[in-house]
Amino acid sequence: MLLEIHGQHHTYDSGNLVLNMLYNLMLEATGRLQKCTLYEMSNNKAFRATVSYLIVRDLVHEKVFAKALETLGVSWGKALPVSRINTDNMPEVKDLENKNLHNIMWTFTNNGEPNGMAEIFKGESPFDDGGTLEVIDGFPEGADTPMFPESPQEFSPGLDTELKKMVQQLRVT
Amino acid sequence: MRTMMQYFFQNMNFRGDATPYQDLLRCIATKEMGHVEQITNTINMLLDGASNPSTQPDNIPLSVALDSPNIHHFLVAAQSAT
Repeated sequence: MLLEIHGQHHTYDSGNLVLNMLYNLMLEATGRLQKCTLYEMSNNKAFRATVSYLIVRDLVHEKVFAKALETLGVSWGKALPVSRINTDNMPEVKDLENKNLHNIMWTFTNNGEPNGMAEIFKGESPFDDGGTLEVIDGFPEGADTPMFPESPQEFSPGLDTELKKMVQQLRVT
Repeated sequence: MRTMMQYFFQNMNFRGDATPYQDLLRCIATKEMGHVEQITNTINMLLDGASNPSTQPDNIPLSVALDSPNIHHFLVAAQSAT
């Protein structure tokens, strides 16, 4: 599903900056659209928490590529009036937008490492949502990832007594 | 997954000195890694407990696979994200 969500399995790089930015904008816009349809398929809380987060973050990524195109002289909004899908009826999305998560990018760099993204990603949002773009140096706050139990019916991880003994020895030494 | 790889490749293949755009691609590629991790963990959590943890094949512990919209979760990915 992770690969299939965009309907195509290959990656695209033409080597041409404007074409790449244009393609990437389309990819994010399509991705956000599909996540908005996914939102409508279930009201499971865990599902909606993740889908809502991705709806918000896809919008930022749309803004990044839209800004990149604008700095290259492309009036993308005129040529391609890509609509910002209305998410007013999705409360989980609204909660995240109240934290301004739809206008923030992180550099993922260590202290003092140069990063030029802020030269592009700045000023007003390229969409009609009235936001101000912001680049934060460093990393976003992470979260613990879950540990899943062994699954004998799937033979996963499939360690028999001998193999388990070897793992145990690894821990002792 | 695809966006992550696409931006990562565009970053590695970048030519010329318009480095702010390369920085931008690298930042987004990194962020996408987090998204893949988040989606995978969410799918795995949703699948947790979906089948019967039995070692007896006659209990048909994986019968849920045939009712699932994506049999590959159970067939090729050991009840995990595919």
